[in-house]
Amino acid sequence: MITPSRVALLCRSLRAAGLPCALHESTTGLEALSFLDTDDPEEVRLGLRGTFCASHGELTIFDSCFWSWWTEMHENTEPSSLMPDVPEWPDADTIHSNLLSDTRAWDAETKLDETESGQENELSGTGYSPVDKLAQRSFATLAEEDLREIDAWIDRLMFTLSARRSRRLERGGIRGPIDIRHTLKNSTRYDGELLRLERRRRRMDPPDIVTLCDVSGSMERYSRFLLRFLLGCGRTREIQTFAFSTRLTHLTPWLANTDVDLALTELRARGWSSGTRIGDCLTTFVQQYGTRMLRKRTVVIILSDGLDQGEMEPLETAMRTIKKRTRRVIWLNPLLESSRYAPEARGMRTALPFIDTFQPGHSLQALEKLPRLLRL
Amino acid sequence: MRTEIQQIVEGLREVGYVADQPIATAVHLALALEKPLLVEGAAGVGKTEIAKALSKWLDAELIRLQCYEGLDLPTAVYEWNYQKQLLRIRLQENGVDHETLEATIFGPEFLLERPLLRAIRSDEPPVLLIDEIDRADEEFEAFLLELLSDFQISIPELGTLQAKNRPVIVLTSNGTRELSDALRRRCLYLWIDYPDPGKELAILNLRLPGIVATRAAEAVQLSQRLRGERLSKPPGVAETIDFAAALDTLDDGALVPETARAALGTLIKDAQDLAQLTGQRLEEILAPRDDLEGETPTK
Repeated sequence: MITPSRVALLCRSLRAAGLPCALHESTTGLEALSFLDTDDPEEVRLGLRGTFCASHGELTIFDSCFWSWWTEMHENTEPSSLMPDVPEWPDADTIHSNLLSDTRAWDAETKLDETESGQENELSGTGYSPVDKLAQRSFATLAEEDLREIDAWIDRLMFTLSARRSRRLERGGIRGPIDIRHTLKNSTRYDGELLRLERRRRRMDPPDIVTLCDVSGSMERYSRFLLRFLLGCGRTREIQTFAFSTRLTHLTPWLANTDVDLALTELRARGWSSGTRIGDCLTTFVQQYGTRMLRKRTVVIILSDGLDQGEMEPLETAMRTIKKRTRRVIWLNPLLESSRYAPEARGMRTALPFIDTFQPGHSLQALEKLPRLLRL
Repeated sequence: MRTEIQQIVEGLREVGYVADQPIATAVHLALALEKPLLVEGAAGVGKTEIAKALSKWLDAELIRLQCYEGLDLPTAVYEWNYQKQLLRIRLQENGVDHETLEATIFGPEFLLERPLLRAIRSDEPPVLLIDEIDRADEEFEAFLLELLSDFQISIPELGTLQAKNRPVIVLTSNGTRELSDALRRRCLYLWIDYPDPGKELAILNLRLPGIVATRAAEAVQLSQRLRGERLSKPPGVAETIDFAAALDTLDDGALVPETARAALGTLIKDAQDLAQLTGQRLEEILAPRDDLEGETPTK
């Protein structure tokens, strides 16, 4: 017999393991037990799994919590054979997430020459001078008059991003399908005569935009552009802006203060232009702001060169979450301007599978294409 | 195993669905607790088939709602038959008093039932399949919450309609986007994996009764191995069934790369995947291995 207090114990260990296991789940679990053969651990496990888990990722966590709970419960009463064959969930995992294994294998392959290639990239990143190599002016050397063009471009980008129409219909327009409900309602003012046909059209569906901007040392020469970008994006509509280097700063409150210089000074004081820990910063972002800002209607724009000094594991997890929960992930990388550049830095490689649009972000000409690409 | 669960396994098998213990347990609890069942898993593992099999086994009507972006209440729940209402008003313009007219034109005769309302008002408890819920937008998902937790729908003109009989609700999702926690919490959760060789063989034998044993084993083996390759669209069970059927019509010798190549279109539905499986790679995949368990034909 499994008592309610036993179930409560299981709930507690599940909560400790990170599963959102509230009163509702425990009562359902208890109810489920009355329909199950409580002497059959396999049946109890499978049954409770359906009530306590809500996604595939939680299944493995549940299983491990379950078995330690079950063994503990039977420790004194039934000494042996308490652990039947645990189904091979890790195996199932590998089949399920091709992406996961892909990136892991990728990592493993690169592990050997990781240090060399990583360093080489960082060297080439800091070493080149864009003016010599390119006809276009790179943002590394940006004149005042260019800023106006940048503003115009940002406006175009914002317009493109906002111009998506939902498939959901709303009242209005002159060509769409007839909205008979409103046609009838309107006809009452003409004593029931249908004089005017109301139509329906596809509703505008402007996405929520979140920009995450790398402000570490390696990105410093682009920082004037970055700041312009962030300010420009926020000019026409409200967007959420974050800066990250070794830690994450929510910039939106700062940018509301239109004094650019003041904001810039403040930001520098807060550790602008130091090292990069993209993974940790993105993880913080997902944890603290994820529920509110990562939604199906969100477009995430990340500006970074992907040179990361931190661990790859958190970066991968965070990028996967971001990709899965949002409409589109755009990554603008200034290093792409060099034709020699290939996304070989560990950080960039890890993030790449989760990016929808990967574009250079170094010069106006490079950025020019972006609005068109996004119109798809 | 509890007898009810055993009955579900056997019952579903009779109607052509091979349910293993995880599936049968989930179905048993969904029926016992009267909760909706949220089924997730890769494409082609038989998520939708569960609902179909359940309706056959329970001898209940299957009401299916295919979700898509922009799915709205007039399409999913109800709509008034405005054209008919207008005609009725015109025909009865003189003669009938307003109240009678109003009562008539907002009566059941003028109500167009869409899947969800039909499921609620059905006299016999139906099986309601809400397919690919992840394709619907957030607004629709939010609307479903009332139906899923209380089995009721609110209609302004008629008030709140309580389900006459609680429908058996099955939701499926391909995971193209995250579902809200609110929705997940109202459901029992079931994850279906690709079947192991034994189960897949059983499915094949059930679906293609006349199939030669070795043919079925070969098809299963190739499918299973292809799932181990890094393909963007690994073959599902439905693909294995098609493939086995294709093999049957193509050739009756042993499975050689040429035959496999000819029938590969039934298994692989992605140009890039197809390009990845060059002749040599395919040969390697088809080559006999002895380190793999459970791949020898057992039935």
